[in-house]
Amino acid sequence: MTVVKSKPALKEKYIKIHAEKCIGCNACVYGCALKHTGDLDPAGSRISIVPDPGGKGFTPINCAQCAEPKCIEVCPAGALTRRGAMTSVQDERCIGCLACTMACPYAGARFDKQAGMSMLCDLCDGDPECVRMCPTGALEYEGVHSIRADIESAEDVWSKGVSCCLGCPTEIVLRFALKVLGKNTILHVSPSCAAAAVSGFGEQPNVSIPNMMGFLTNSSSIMTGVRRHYRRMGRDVNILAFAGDGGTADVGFQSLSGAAERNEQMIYICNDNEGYMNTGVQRSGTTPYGAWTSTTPVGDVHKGKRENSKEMAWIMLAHGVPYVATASVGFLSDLEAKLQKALTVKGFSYIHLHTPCPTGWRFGPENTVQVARMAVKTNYFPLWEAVSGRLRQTVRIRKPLPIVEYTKLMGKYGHLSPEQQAELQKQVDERYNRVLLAASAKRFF
Amino acid sequence: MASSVDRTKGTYVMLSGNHAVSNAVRLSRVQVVSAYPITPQTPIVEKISEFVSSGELKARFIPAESEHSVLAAVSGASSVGARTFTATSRQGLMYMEEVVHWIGRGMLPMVMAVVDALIGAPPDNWTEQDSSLYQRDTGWMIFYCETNQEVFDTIIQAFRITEKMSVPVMVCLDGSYLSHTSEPVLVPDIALVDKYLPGRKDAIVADPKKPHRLFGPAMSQEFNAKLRRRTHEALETAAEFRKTADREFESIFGRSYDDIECYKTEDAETIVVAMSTVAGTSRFVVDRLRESGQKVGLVKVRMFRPFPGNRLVEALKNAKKVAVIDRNLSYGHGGILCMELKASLYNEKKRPTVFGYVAGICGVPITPELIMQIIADTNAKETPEEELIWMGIGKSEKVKAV
Repeated sequence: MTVVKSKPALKEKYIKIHAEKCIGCNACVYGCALKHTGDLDPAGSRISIVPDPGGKGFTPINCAQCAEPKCIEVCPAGALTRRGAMTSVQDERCIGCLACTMACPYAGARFDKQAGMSMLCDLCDGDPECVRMCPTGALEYEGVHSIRADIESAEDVWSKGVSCCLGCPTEIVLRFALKVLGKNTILHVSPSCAAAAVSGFGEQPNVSIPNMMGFLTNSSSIMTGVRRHYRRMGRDVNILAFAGDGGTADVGFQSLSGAAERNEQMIYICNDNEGYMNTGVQRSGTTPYGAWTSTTPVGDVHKGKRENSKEMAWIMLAHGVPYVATASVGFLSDLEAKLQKALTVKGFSYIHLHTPCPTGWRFGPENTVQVARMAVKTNYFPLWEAVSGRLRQTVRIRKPLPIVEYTKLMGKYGHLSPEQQAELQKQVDERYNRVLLAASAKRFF
Repeated sequence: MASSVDRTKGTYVMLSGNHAVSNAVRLSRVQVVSAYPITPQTPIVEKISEFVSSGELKARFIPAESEHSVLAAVSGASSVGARTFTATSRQGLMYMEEVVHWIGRGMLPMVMAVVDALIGAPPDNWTEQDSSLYQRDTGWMIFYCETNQEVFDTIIQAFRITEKMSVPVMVCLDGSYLSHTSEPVLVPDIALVDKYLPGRKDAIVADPKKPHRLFGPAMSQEFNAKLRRRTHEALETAAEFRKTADREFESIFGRSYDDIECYKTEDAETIVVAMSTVAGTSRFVVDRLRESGQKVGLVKVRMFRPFPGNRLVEALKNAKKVAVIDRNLSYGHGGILCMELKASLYNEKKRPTVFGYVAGICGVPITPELIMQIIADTNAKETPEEELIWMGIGKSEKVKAV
């Protein structure tokens, strides 16, 4: 597999701490203070050394440049900003309230008493003094994979401004996925909302990678042919088949199953918006129980869909393919990790992507991500991955919310009776228990 | 043997029609093959997969889960520049239908062998040409072959045409009568085939190094209409190029084929028009009847799409009567070749009377006796009493209203 080399990722560098090597010599502390203040006073250092309880060793503590900085959240003056993967203090704004030092769970934000301001590690513009000073290699300046850096720096192969509905998650995930997969990718989008958006209207395409729109039924077969010819020529390209839930779970299922059984080298993403949205919201095999669609209308006799949704990810897992995952537009870093993994897998990868549709599900376009997250928080759509049949939860919800918290967010469940609500809750619980069971087993399939 | 051409560069091998196809595919160094089993086509792809397994053919073989996927897979491979091939029959071709149209209209180069057999119901596999003639509106070039040698040569010629003109080519052979009948076939040296087939040089393929969009939706009406016209005109241009391809073929292999073949038609008063193996039997009958002094001739239609209407008009202009033998049927109308021929003749001031016979459907044998009967019937009547004349097919109970 040479797919990884085609990855557009820029490696962001961080200070990596190997606490077991730290001897507590404080060389880093003095080095940092000297460099930033011109003085050897440790109070001016951004890094500190804390002895472990029990006196067994030491731990250097520094700003972790974490992905969700609490310091920024709590700063009342807006003095902390994050650019790329770096959080920094704007001196002229800091009011010295100490809120950031208290909020940081890593104790990485420090306070400069002399200047009366907060201070954060600035990585010395790419040449950290502390790392230079460390005699044991406890501090290491090295590339750490950063989704933010990757995605920000990766070339966007999709044109700015597309023809999707307002709030459409398909645009978010596809733009995102193409940034992760990079330019050495051939994309097939089966007829769906995404197809028109990717392909563009008129004679100019919307994406700058080779792309085609073929059959609703057959994404995976077309891409089999593409992949086999490239393999024959000895060239590695990333193959992405992107299809809707109808093209995956219903009419396209046979060809998908065939390609999975042959273990063709490709990534197949099912963009599951739980219905035929491009033709105007009709029911599909993944439309959930109770949901309104234009072919499961709400009337006096029947109220919404009477059948349960097809669990595609499990069906694909039963094919024994090397990689199966569920993902959500509400958890992009999780999706990114899964795409990266899919790139390294030898064989067929299936990612079932939950993409709430504002137009078809009847919620405001500003709530797409909220709805997607609530689907995960209620365990309606648990996030997991299975490498070679070994299932692992990638996002675990400590206190799952009742399904009503999810259903109340959108119009497609507006009619649900308490009985239907209870039925849906029962189904969510049953399905989630299966995930737990599978995750506890050594090898499920 | 012609002195300028060394036809000995090859060996005579006893090959069934199916294996003639497989061997032509091997010699053409096809790069991606996909297939799904269906009688009577299956021996073609069985043999090809043997060639791939033994290394005689360095191709990727995709054993897809259905014909629909088969054609989609080769369309994918063709979109990225591969020399592609597949073969099918009857229900398989029906199941491919969506993709057949797509490839024709999308002008993807590829060759497909169709072994003609009936479409269900009932699910039998006797010979008739309904399934392949049904493809006449798809934008593919369609050939019907008379012998296994012709099958072999047409496959090789088809690759030359498809790759030069970006028009998909369908090569049809009668099930059983050719597919499972062995005949001596001159299999040439692979070096000669290499010389004949230079390979694809498409400007537009799906390649990340030179990105293109293939088949985008939401084009304007005018743009789409222009594409349609282009597809139609490409077929006509391909028919022109076919002549060049044939001349090249003759210079290398010493054999030549035309769109239509006129056999003893110069002074013929009655001409039989037929396709595929029916033409072979008709040729034999024409010879017999000529011996007894009857002025009979044969026009064999080899290329059905694009339809060689002008050529047929020219070939038939001096005949008094024409007997078209169709091993196919458009329900509610008649034999398909007959319909097409009549349409071509309509605007001619001087035109022969056309008799349309439907014979040999569902594999009922079209024997020399039956063809003699057809010619006798044509000669006996001034004009046809009915537009569709059944020949050798018994009448069943009349359908009553339920």
